[in-house]
Amino acid sequence: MSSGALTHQLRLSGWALLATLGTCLALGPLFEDRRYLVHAGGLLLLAILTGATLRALNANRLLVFVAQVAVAAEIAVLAYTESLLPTPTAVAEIRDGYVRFAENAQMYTAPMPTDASTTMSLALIIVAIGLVVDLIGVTYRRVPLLGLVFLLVYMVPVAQLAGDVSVFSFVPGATAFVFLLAADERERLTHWGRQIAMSGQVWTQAYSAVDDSGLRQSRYRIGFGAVALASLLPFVVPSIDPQILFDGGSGGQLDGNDGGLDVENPVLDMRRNLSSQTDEVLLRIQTDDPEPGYLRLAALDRFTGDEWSVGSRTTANAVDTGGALPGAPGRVASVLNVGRDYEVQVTDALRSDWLPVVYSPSRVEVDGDWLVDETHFDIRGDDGQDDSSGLRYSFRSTVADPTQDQLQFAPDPPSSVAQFTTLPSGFSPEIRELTEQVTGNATNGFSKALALQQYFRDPANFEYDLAQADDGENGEEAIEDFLLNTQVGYCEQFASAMAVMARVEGIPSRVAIGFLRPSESPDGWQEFRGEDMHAWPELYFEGVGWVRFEPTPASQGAAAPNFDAGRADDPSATPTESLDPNDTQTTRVQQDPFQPNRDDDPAAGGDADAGVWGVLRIILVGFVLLGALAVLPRTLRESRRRRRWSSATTPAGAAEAAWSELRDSMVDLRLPWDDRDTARHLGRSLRVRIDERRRAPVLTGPTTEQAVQALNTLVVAVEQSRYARTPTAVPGLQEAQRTVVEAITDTQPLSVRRRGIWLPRSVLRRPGTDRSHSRARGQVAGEAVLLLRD
Amino acid sequence: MREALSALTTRGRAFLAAGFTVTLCALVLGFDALLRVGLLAVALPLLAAFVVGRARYRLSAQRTVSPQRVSPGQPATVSLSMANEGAMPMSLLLLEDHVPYALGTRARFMLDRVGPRWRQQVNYPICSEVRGRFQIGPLSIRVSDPFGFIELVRYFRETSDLVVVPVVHALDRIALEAAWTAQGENRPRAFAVGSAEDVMTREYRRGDDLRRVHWRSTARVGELMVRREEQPWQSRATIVLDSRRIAHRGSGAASSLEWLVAAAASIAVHLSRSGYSVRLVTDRPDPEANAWHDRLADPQVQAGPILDELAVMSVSERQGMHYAVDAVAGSAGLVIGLFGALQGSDVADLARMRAHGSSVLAMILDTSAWDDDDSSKASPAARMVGALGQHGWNAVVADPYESPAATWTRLGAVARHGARTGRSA
Repeated sequence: MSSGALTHQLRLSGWALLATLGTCLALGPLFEDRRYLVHAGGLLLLAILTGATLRALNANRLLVFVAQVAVAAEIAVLAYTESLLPTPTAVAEIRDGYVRFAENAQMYTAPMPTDASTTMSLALIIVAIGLVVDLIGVTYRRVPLLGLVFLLVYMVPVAQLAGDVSVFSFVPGATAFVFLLAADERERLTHWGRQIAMSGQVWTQAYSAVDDSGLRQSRYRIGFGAVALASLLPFVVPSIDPQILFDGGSGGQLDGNDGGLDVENPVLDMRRNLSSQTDEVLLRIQTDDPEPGYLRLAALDRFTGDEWSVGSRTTANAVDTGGALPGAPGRVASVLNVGRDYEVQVTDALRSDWLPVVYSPSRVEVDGDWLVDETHFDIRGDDGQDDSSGLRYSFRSTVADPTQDQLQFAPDPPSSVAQFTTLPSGFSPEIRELTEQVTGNATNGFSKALALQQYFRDPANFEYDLAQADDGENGEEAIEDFLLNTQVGYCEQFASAMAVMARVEGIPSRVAIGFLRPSESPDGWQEFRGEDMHAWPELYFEGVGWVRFEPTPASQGAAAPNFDAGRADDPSATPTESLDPNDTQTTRVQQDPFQPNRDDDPAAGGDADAGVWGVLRIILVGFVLLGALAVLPRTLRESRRRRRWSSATTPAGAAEAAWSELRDSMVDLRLPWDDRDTARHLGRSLRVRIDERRRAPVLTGPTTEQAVQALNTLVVAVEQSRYARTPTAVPGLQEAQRTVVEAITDTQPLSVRRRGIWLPRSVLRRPGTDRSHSRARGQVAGEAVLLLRD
Repeated sequence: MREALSALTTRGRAFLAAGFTVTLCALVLGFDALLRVGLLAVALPLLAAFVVGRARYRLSAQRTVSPQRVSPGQPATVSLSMANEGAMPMSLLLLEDHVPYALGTRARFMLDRVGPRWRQQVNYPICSEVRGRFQIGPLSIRVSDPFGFIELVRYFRETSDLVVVPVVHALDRIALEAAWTAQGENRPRAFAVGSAEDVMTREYRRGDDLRRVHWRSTARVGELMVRREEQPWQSRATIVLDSRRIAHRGSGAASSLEWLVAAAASIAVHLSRSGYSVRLVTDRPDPEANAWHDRLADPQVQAGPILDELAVMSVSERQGMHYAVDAVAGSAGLVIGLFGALQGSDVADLARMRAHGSSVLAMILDTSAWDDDDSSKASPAARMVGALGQHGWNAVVADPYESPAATWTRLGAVARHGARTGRSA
């Protein structure tokens, strides 16, 4: 191996290493720090040098790979364990670290805190990826295949973060991959042969000093250009909403019109339902709860300033409904619970990704993959695969019944719920001011919350009107407008305004979306209809957990939670129990800085559900279109044939029709046909083709003799039609034409025949041009004859 | 651009297809991150096609091969003169001059960034170990992008020929004159005897036209000398080559035909150097069988057409030697027959040749020596020598263990002996 080849290998390996690390950079948002990249880089570098050395010695390819794995393993053992060699204990140590990492990965939502075991495991995973990349790309020289490997790696964060991977984690990997491709191709190009230089100097050693400045220039141009295009185009062209694509726009129109309600974004659907006041029954329940209501679909936990929205839900932070559900967050054992059982029938009209339950469910029995979010206790179909239409399920909820003392003397909320008090920076000072006025001299969180609720429920302050409310707005401006100017709105405005004001006061809050109150049907079931959709705020009090409030005025018929009526508790009573902030039931919640931006746009829809439907629909439409497109040419050809024969009424017309038909058939078969040629001459060349059949015995179709005879008939007929003064009718032209075509088709290979049927080239020609042309010539010939006679 | 797109390689097509699929999926699912991957895969080949398609290529190329006729093992040089006729600079070009495998390795060149009015000459050597006529070219140009997505191939039409003539052995001068003095005509004279002027003059004889007197020679010699214009040298030799498949054994460079071809080439060169007009006759019909290659004075050049013919000589499917006999029968002069395995029926044909020729010599191959299986059998070639001898042929048996030069020397001895016997007979 020459030094040039070694250089090339190192170049290839280097780019492969960079591409691996660059792609793994996209994993970054999943973890808290990125030390593992450095670890992996070091390990991979050594493995790659091993590979390059062995390849330079022309070692067997598999041996190279095995040696690389061995080197990487040895160094990993040295780096991560006490022992010097990969002894069983060292391997077990590493394995334990990996198991710890896997457990953590199950437990935490992104970004995961990184400890030593995480760094080690990630580094080892990346090294494994890098070794596979080196094997495929450098040892086996299949660089384009690596695109798939990198795509796989890249898909991990994309899937975990619901597609929200920063462009900066895309660019390094993509650039390195592009240059890896170029490095591979560079070798092929520069090994092509001697280079002829500009200066007239000719290098005889092909590998030594290849000047590839021009190549490099276009490599940079194309490579950086493509990466830039790929990074920037998605910003310019926002991803198209599948809803708009397939539903013809969703301008506030209720989906229930075409047979149901699709719930993806619960806010949006509540708006639609309330504004249209649909009375379609969406679900029916049976329960031992005397006053059923407040079935929650989802909690909107994130307030961005533009709107309240469903924050990111990751599978890591959820448990399957099949398993045991954790206790409600923040609620301690001393709080009185009332267990209620519910039986639910969802009608076909409600296609929701979210399962309506009463807070907080302790047991859910349902078919399909449904995940209970441990923080919000809303239940969501796994990966949007399941929707709720037609579903029957049952659940048991423990409804908290806290004493007022427990609420009054709730300690400050722990940092784990800090995310529920965040307000956008520069939040409206007017709202802050108003909040202070309303809460006035209330001393604790619960009193403040009650003051807020009372403020909203006072008919002197606000008016409930569904029609006059700003449609579909719960952002900062809309709330400000609602609070300070219009003071007219419906549950959404009330709920979101109260939640915002609670946050101003530092009380963790969120907005729950669901169903308010059922009506009883004759058969004893309680029915929820579209018009029953509702929004209400939930506020968090340490020790009690999330407590529902009802700011929407009573005119709407919703009673405020009973505690605000003041339960007959001894006001002097001390808190029954000191509440342990480190209660085991508080779920660890990690701040998620990578909030999906797409959720900001309610129309974008965060779920793949409609996407899958859309894909199916697009595929179906595509198939139909493709099918239609496929049969179009032969249909055109067929219709032309029919028209031709039907329009051939005169003897001359019939002969010309037969001839044109023959011409078209030959053109379809991609056989030469010159329109300027005489019929006799063309006939002779066709005769040659027919005679080819004599070489092999004909088993099916017309015999060669029949074909020749038919051809003669055709030629005579067309000559008569063109040159005779009064052409006589020749019978059986159509059969004769068919016989000839069949005989000639026989001699063609199958592929040509198929093409002749499915892609007839003759349809590209304008019909009629040939005939008028030949007829005109016939007339000229006739005139010439006349002149000569004179 | 469209042209470049139609020249997409498999890699380019794969990237485009995968990219479109991923882009579509990303759009439908609304994944921006995936969209980037798809766009990258689409953008790479499209940009490459754009960059390649944007450049305009107008390259001219001219090829010269020198020498155009070489003997086996003798190198020749092909030189390509290339120029950029367009005003635009060109990006990476891969050139390949098509060279038959027998002539050496592929002639491949790489041109990176060629400016306007660029002009360059590239040489590469070719060399063949076997005789034949080889076509060099056409020159192909590939335009590629740095990622291997596009490969445009264009061909120049022009091709050149290289003729590799058979091996020519240096032959001894054998006293063929001995055989011809008896004939009284067709007297070749070696140039070594004197200058060309000497060759062209003779003594004045009574009756010679005075206007023919060559005064300068007269002054030098001291006697009246005249130019011999009315009697050009008529020393003609016909080489009859037997190329029938039935007459030969073996294949490739070790076949018996190769030995005969080498012998024919050596004899043709030798005789033309010795002043003969030489022609080659084979068992094939040849309209130019009577063309004597004596037009040019340079013996090397004179033997050229024969060598060209011998370079591409291959076996024929004919059974008899009628054409050769007919061609020889029309003229007189020295006839040298080079025969493979002769059949009994051939003897009569060869006898007819003798009837017209003045002197006939033959090498008859002992083809069984080329045939591994047949080596035990008694050689029929020796019998043929006897049979032809009865018809006046002076023949020797040739075998692969002897070079044509040695056989030629032996033939010379036999011819001298035969001439002597012929004279005594």
